[in-house]
Amino acid sequence: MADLVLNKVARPNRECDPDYSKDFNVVGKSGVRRIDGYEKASGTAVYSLDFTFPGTLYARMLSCPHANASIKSMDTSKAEAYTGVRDVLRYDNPDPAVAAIIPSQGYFEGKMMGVIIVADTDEIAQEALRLVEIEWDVLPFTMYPPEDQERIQSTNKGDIQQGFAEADQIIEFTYSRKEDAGHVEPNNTNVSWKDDHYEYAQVGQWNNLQAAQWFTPNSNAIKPGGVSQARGYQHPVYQGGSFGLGITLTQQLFKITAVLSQRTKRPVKLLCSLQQSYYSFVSSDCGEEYFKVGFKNDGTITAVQNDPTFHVMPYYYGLLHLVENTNISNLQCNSPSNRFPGANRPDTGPYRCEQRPPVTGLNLVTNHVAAALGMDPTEVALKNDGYGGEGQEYMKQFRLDHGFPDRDSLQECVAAAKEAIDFDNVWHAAGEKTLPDGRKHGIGFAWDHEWNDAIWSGTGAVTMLLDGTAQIIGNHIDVGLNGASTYCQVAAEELGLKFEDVYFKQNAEGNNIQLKGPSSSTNACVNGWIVKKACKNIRAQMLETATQGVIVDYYGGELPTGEPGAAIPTPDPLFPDLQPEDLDIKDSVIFEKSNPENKHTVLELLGQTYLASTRWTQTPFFSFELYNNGQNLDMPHRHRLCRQAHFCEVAVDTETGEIEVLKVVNVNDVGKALSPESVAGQQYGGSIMGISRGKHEEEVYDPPTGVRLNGNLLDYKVSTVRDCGPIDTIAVETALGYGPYGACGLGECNSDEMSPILGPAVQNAISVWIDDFPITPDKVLKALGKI
Amino acid sequence: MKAFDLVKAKSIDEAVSALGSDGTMAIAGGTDLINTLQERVLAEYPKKLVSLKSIPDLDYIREEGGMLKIGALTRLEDIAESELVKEKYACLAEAASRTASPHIRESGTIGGNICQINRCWYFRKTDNRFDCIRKGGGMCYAMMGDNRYHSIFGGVKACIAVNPSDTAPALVALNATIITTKREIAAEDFWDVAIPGSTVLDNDEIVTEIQIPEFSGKSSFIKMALRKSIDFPVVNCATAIADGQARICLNAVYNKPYRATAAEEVVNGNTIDEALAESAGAAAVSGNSAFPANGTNPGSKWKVQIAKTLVKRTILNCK
Repeated sequence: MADLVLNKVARPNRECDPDYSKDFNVVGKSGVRRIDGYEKASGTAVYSLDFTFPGTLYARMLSCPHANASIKSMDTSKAEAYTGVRDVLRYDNPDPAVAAIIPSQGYFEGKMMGVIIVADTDEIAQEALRLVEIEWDVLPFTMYPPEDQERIQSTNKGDIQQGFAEADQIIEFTYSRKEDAGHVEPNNTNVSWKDDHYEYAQVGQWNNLQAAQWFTPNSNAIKPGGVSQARGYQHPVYQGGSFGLGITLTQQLFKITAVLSQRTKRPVKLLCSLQQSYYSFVSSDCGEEYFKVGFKNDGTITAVQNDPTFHVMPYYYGLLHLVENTNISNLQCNSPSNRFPGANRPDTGPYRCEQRPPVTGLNLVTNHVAAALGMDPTEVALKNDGYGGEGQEYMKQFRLDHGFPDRDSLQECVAAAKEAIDFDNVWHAAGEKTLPDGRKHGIGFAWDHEWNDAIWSGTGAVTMLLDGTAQIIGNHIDVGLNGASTYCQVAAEELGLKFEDVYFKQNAEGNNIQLKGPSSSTNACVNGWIVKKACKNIRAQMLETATQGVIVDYYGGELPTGEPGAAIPTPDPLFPDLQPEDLDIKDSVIFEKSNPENKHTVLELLGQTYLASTRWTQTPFFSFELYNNGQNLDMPHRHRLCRQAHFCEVAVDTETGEIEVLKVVNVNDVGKALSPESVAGQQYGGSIMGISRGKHEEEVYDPPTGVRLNGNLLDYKVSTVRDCGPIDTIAVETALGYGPYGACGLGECNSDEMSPILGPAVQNAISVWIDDFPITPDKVLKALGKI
Repeated sequence: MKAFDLVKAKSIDEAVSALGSDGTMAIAGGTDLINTLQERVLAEYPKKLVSLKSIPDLDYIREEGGMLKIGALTRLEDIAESELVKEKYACLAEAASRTASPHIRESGTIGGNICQINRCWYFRKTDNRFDCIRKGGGMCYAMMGDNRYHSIFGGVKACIAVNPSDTAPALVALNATIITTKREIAAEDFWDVAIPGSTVLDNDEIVTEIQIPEFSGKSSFIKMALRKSIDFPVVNCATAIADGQARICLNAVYNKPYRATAAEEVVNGNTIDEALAESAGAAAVSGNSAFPANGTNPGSKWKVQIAKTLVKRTILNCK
């Protein structure tokens, strides 16, 4: 039995969902009601910052003011005496479990450390914190890893030297990135700890019970009574302006707040300043990556060498997407053997997508090759498209072997993108087009695979209610766009209900059913699968009941004593002479396929169950489902098949160095657009974020002190919708995804692909490569020899 | 944010009286000051704020007595959208329309915009982190640090923070006069003050009106910022030319709006063409002392190129 269960859990689907070709009634429909729309638009949506338990105390924690420093001595007497202060926790607390959560050393400026003040109000906590007197031991710091890092071959595919020997040309370049997480919503955590249970509400992608529970078994400090996960009560809150995985800090903040609540026996709200939140994470790390690329004169790439250097800790290097997207046989990555060079910068996390570095690598490699050859970059992409060194023949056979349609995703995406951008009329050789206002025109191209439905797992349930409607049960993470409505579209499709007869709302108060969690990526596909499977089960249950009647076992009509029981009015089946396969459900009506006039509403069926047995409870139509894709992004024999292709037109002012984005075309093969509005929204958002990262997002530190100079949303330049030109969003639907109906993920795609696109766009405009991102005006002017 | 007393002044006299006590600051739209207080930028936190927004009749745009009069509490958005200002004082309307973001323009006032504290990311670092010379400390951290957004014309008592106002150069170019509760000040003298001040105003002195002589020439304002949606200028420039005489003012390049008199001399009395404008641009930045690139710090020389270009382009726009 255990083997069977594990087998079921561990093996993701590797085949195409055969339902991709069905006639859709609700899935893919535009204009459905956005379930979270009113609350978010009206300002009534509750975010973690809005949430407080009755009687809450407020906590603030010290930030390290130095790039690297430890506390020599600390005097908290004035803070302790400040009116309204309820508790002061120091790094040197005699209880080691408490001291363990308050470090005495800050290894980057802004690191939360040293002391926590708990007070009646946030204002008092902040003022008391300023009364703490500290003697610092300021330590040496470094912002960069050593140049002579030892390297290992983390990827060594084929024969790199042979690949270079086969090349007609070899180019070398180094690109760099300096962006951070661009965090917007201040971190804050609410915990109310009681003797036998706890409640909490917390900002962060990981605001779910699994995340909190992961560390509780290891912490005597916050699990004194062995409080189980079942006694944890989550108050799900909306998310705002965060994008990515914040588990390390989020868990730590939960742990700290739990300790504070235990000590004070009051609910506690731990608030982080915007700077503390901003410093919590940087993106998937700043750094530089050297590339050496060999290629033939027809655009075939024969070898790629990649030597990355990251300032703190990278998640993925430059070659991952060259493996997953290309037929290039010879790849070598010489990565630092030490993944933690120890720079005095904030911790890295897979924030704003950890795939950013390898996406940039893929796109700069193919675009550099195209530029060197004077080729259309889409031709280079198409020529090298593939998987793991294998080309189109292999990909075609793979698609056929796994039940997918025989469609070439990149070809379709490129064709759609070219038509939208009017490629034949706007494309030109580098430096050859000047706009009427004197600015140089450029066009950039980016491509990649589409995100699939990996990773990890989710659980959820669906139940029919007595009024004929369906309810999705579970909590989900409020990321992406319009997720709740999308799940309802899938449920309505599978159940045959009208969209408005399905509902999903965050299910608070201790519900341990987590839809896609604990990660925040790929919600639509994972949750879509959960809902689809559960609804398929329910649909089968309903059709069986419709043809066989409500089955009630009342001990054969006898009471347990053996005496005749009261008569149970068991209704006749709605379709007594038919089998389930003879029926269909559409628009909340059950009907005979061959005789649609023979019909009953779903509500009638639910009414029967009420009369038969369930008048004091819910209906018998319920299904719980688990979906698990495993923990790897790209699993063997589960190659990513959907592609994306984008263009970006720019105007470069050669006198000021300004880059204006004139137009963007996004084409994403999403397999199946479950919700067209969600797809378009992700494309818009991703484009703006990506261009922002490529154009002006840059973390700046004061060289002499290591203090961050732009740790705020004014000086750290994040684009808004008003900073980009028009964005054309196009969804290609090939059904080549592993998600329900052939769908695949989208949310993180465009933000990564659009990040490097300004590189080739600017090169196309001014004939000079600027691989030092962001491409700010000073770099353009320098490249042009103006400064 | 730490609590403070708030006095909602009902009259100019009440505001002036309230501002006379120690630890008191004036607040209008609050778009600059509130953030400054939230971030604990200043060494001294005010005990009391005097709100000027509650003073009636300081929100107007009208022509009177041969001049344009703008009340100090007039919102930037109203100036940007004023047909009168757009028609006759184009550089001011454009400057107001490019200030900050739509939301901030709906709240921020012209008085506040010209009175905002100079910008420097060392000076503005949260929790008064850098005890810089503008705060009475012993050194300018930007001099030795990252000065990509700083002065290209040297410092004032070794402070290289810049005045970031968008409307200020337009007012200088239009030869405006700032009317306060104590005096009348020519616009180009309004910011002529040593640190730590950003304007010549006394603490108990408030701006009540801005007066601009009737202008019959052409004017132009161009702002270069990293974002269109919301940003302080990297460099901005306003030029007003009437009867062959130019007034040209750059900002965000120096401790105060920088009147480019050398560029004006190139233009004055001459026919404007590309070559003349180019020469004027070069003259505007001659003698600059911009910082060179240093490691990851690009320095401020790129701002010289931009300043030169904006001077040229605003002149050509006035052709």
